[in-house]
Amino acid sequence: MLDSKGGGKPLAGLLRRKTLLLDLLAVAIPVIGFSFGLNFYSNELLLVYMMVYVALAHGINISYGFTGYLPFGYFGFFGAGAYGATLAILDLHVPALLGMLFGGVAGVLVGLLLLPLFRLRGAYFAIATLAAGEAVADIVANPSLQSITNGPYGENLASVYSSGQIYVAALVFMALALLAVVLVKNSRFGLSLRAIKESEYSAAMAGVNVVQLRSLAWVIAAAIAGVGGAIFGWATTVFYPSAVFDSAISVFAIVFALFGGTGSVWGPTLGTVLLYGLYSAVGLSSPQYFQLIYGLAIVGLILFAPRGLVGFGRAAVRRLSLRRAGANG
Amino acid sequence: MADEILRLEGISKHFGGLSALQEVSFSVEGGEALGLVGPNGSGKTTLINVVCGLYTPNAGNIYLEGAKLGKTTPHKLAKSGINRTFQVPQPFASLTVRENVEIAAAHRRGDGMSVVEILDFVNLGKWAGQEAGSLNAAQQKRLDLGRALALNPKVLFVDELGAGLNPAELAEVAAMLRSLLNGGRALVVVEHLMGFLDKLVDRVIVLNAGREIFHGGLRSALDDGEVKRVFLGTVGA
Repeated sequence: MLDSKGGGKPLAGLLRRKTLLLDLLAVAIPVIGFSFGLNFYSNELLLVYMMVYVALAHGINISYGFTGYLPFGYFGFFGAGAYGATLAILDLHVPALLGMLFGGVAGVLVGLLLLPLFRLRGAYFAIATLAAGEAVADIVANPSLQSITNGPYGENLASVYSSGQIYVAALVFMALALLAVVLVKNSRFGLSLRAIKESEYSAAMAGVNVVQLRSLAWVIAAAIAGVGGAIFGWATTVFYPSAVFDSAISVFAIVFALFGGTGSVWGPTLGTVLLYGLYSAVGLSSPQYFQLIYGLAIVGLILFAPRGLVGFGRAAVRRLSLRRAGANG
Repeated sequence: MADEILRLEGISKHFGGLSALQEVSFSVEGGEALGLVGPNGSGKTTLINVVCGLYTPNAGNIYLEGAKLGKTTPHKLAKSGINRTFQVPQPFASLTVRENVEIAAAHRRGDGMSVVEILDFVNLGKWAGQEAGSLNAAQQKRLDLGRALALNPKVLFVDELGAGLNPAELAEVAAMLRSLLNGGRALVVVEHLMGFLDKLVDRVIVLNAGREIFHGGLRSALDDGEVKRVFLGTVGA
């Protein structure tokens, strides 16, 4: 049935339902896979980190893939989340699981603080977020804040360590991040974000409240990074500011998202599992070749699949169907 | 007399030392098509950008149905009934043609044409499921028009929709635009093609170097000495 505003044809509805089903599969398969992951691979910490990175890559997916803003300083939210959760657990004595939510809140607060950076665009925005992330790191690591953050001497969550709880928390967190992306992708909100990515002014002339929606996307991405940092800190147990406010965290999340393909639900997950798997395998077995192999993989991606694995797959399917149509015609 | 939809009073816009618009004033009524002409760089698109919220004017006031528009954002202007197409079409290239129109329709206040009706109106129904980036330039311009119509604008600025079209297509687009005047909508049509304007507009405003140099009927404009000088130059100069 057509509504008075949108209208639409049954075929469009069917295609949307098919897309939604594929997107839900992109949530279910990783969740099921990681649920049974320990049966096949015993390095629990690595699996927890992988789930955290899947979620982080999807945070980048929301901020960059859908909205077009590349946050090199994404690690600022991550570190703030690790410290927010730690302070809540150690100082406010909240249960560790609840502390993870405080991590999300800390990420959101930093995200709100950085909203004025949206006055900048493109590379300027990316660099400004990088500087802001470093600034947050410097504040947290400042020795004069030792009474609150323990300054440069790091934090210790050994008293609340629970491998089982951490694994379940990471799994639920990853599932929620994936579901958030499915909701964004299949909603009017997501459509508006994609329009903003194409042209902010044209989106505004289509009635989209650009400032409000991109801020909301930013806050969602910040919350994901905040909770991710909190779980990372909990799993790592003892961490220093340099471990959670590390620009490599942003680089990894961005590369994983781009490798798999942004703007999709499958892409960042595939990118993270493959690249983080490669990173871990090479790093463990042949650490001397790690940077060479990893660098070659990224160069190969940019040369042969600039739209990521999902984009590469879509192009291949399109070529195949065109060839079939040509053969039938 | 029809109701006045849009009125501009003394609009000026400067970019550093360059005066892009100097005290431009005009009004347009419901059901009326107004032509906006002038050589390249005369300020036509700047004027649209000012009215549609991309630029803030340095001086002057804009009234929509008698209400003064203060400093506002483009999306609020779009929702309140001012919209435009673009000289260089700006579709959301990675979205489908249907999605391009759906976004705007979702933000409309009140009733209007459905997405299907709009796509049929701009002759893009056949391409509804296709990525907008794969359309040709003329189709992308029509998609711009469809997206603007989805918000059911009271006044619509049409920026060189006829450029690059053959005579048959021009006649078709002129008829399409004329039909938009039914129901009290106002059109401001920016165009270089006088034959196209002749089929469409009741009067024209001619701009040169940001200044209004003529305001009246199209035929009178073509006989006006200053308009001729601006468009054709001066013999022996």
